[in-house]
Amino acid sequence: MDGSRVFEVYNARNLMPEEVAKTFVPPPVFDRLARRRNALVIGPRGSGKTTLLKMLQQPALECWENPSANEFRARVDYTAIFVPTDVVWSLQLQSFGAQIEDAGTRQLLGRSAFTTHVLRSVISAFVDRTDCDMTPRSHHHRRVPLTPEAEADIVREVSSVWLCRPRIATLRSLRETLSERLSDLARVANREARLGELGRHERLTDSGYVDLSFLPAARAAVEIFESVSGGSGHWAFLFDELEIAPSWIRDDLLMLLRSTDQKFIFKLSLSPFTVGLPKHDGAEQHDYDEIVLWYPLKEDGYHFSEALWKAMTKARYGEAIDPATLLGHPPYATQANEWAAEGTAYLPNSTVAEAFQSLATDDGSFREFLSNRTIDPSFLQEVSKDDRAKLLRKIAPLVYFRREFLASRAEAPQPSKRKGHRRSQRPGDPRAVLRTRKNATVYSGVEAVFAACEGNPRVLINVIDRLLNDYDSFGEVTEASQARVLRSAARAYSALLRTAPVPGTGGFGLFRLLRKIGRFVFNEVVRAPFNPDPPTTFVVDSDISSEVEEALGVAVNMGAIVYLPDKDAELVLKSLRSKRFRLSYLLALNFTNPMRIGRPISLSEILRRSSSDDEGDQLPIHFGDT
Amino acid sequence: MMITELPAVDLREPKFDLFIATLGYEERSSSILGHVTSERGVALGFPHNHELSFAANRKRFAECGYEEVVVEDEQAESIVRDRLRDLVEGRRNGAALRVGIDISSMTRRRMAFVLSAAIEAVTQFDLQVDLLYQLAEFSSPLRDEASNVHIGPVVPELAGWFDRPDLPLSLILGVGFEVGAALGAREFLDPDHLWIFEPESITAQYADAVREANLDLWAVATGQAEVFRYSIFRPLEIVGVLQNLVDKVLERSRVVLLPFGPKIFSAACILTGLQRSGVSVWRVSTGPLASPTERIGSGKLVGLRLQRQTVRSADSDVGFRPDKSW
Repeated sequence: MDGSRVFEVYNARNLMPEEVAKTFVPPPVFDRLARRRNALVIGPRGSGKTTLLKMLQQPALECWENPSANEFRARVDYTAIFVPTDVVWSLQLQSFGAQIEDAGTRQLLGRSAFTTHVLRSVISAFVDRTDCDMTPRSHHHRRVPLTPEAEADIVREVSSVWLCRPRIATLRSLRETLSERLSDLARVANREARLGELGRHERLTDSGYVDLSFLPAARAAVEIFESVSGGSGHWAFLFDELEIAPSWIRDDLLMLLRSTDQKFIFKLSLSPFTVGLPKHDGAEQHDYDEIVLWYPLKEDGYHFSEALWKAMTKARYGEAIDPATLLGHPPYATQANEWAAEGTAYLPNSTVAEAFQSLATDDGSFREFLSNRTIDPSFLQEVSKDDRAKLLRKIAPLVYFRREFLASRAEAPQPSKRKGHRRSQRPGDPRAVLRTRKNATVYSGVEAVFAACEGNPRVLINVIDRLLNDYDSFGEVTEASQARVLRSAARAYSALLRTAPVPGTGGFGLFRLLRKIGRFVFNEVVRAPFNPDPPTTFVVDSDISSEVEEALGVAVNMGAIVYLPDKDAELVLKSLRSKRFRLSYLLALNFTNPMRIGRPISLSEILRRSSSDDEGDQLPIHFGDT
Repeated sequence: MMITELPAVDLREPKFDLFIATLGYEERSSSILGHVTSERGVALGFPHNHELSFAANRKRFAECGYEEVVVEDEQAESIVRDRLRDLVEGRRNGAALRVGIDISSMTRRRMAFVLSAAIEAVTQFDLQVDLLYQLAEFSSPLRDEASNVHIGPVVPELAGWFDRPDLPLSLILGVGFEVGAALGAREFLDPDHLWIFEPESITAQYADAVREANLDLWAVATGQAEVFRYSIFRPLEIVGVLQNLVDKVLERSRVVLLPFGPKIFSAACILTGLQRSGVSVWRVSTGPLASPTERIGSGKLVGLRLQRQTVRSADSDVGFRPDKSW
């Protein structure tokens, strides 16, 4: 798969390490992850956890061409063992042996399946280390030459410890034998379901491998490998997507983060919120690094997004293209030529000034706001420099946004002559006439496109790929095209959110909850009287029921809401209470929200004030539990 | 076990020794009684959603002398197994036994349990099980706002088991007019490869509704997914195409079947999954929170026949290659 087409695959899970490396753009946190230390990578779906882990693997490091690649190849002085997983495998593991009545036996066989899967990954790492794999690579990383005889010695000794018998004494054959063991486990499970408890202990003892544990088994294998090959060093287990692993696997692996094992380090990935997570305070005690893969502030994700854009354009066209060249800027990002030392940006015919004047014309509440501060929208340049910095610059994006969605007097339809059906034309009135914007300009431009993607590689690659397709087809990427692509991405994302299962049966939909929040923000920003600091973030307060909290937990793991931690706050969440969040900016398109962080408000207040006349539903705020 | 298509003559006035119907809220769950005759009947009911046509259905089943058994889905398997065993034990003089099962109003979960019992009986005893599906009159799809409580294997036995968890994932997706549901499932599973089974319909309304409900899926999948269009009036062809595709794809990837749309396609997926341990069959469900939607029977029936494999007929059957013994 060449470098340009690999961007068509949006999930690193589906790519070989070499393919991941071809397009890898290292985020700032990769430096910390690469260290020879235990680490917990935390991020919502699509934030790049799998990509980062896969990049630590030898095949990826060997193929990676990047100015910093050599430095990382030197820094990664261990061999990574990546243990793949996905939701299908995880559910199979949880369903494994479902017809066996005894829970202990089910878990024993499930653990054995997991152990077998891990040991298979260990052999894959051995294969990568040695010359057994003939794939030519640009740079060798921790390779050890291995003669066929030495390979046979390793295989025989490891097989003895692991209680298996490969057909031939090669690493690949040993790996295949472990696949057969997984099939055999299914047969064992069927047998135990059929035969019941009588004689079970003897039968399982005969299948001795069911008692193997992955860590001592892997340690023995690694020692054999190093003894025969002459290599030595550290090894790192990379366990991905722990949030979908059965709890009995997840909790055991999380405990390993506190490990001071001399041979193995552990790097795990996890979503931000996990119910029933055991207490872990190792990060505070510096046992491991916590590495966060989301960006509370949209500005923090810009650099990475730009780097990914340039990598993709380089792969497609042979040269990196500045994203602003194709996407332009949103209207609220004042152009450089409009800024000058003495406030040129606020002259009457500037973009900013026109926006202020336009809104002041149509919006009485905004007019009143300016008047109370003795600001004349026609003479913004006369406002003091201090006030321009503190106030005007701060509210300018809100002004643009509000103006975009409030209809002008000329556009507003005449009040209905029917009695009792008068329509208000006063903005600031909840019945204010709104403008339908299919291609809202506030959602176009490089800043808006990158903000909507939240620095999430999966979304970014999808969106950028489609924008570049438009560029290839039409020679430009119009505002309408950008809005269309983002809306499509938002719809696909919404479909995903509607599908994600929410534990319990609260009688409401996750998406309905998010929509309530989104509509509240829209009302505050557009419908309500102009507010220079409208609430656009929320705190999960104690009046929220546990069912709503669980639904929000799904939302944060899917990236639908973004955690805004205080300094030194915990990053892996066992509870959402008292935590502050904002809606994902991708959902901003669905709910017509601005992409900005405003002051917080309690979620229960949002739910109390949210309009229900078009939905006829009420969300449970408080069920008496605390 | 052999699967054949119910011939037209058997669909005009099917006659059974035992008919297993569904007691639910859809009108078609009892309207099928106007098209079948049976010595005995069992109406398997659900313990919830007793609204819409439920009361009328219950009355009709009672008037026809049907045994009403209200159970949770997981109990349906043992009920069906017991009734089939009773039927076989009561057989006189080695007479051929014919059983009918109406799958039209079953949940996919219940269907999995019932078909599991049916397959077991067919392979153990000399009896014939006809799966009947009654097409519903078109009604506009409703967008269900309730959250999903389950997305995963239909039942644990259909979770499948892969000996190569590192292989790519292939999703075979059946679409219906559940708005956005297929797209959401595709986004959730994020497969390497995608195949879409789209139902043709005798009504333009239904075809348009399916297209409309899946517009965003087509936008995402165009150029990336292969689409098979199937007719619900050729159910054996559905099974054949599906199983040939599954067998081919299994050679190089893991396979998940996720059927939205007509229940006859769901039945084909479940039959496939029950016969191949390497295949996982999934469902998406809002559980008891699902908004009940009326479905009026059209009187148009299609069906599949399950019977013990004797002599294989190359033209009319689909031979299984089971990898587990029944």
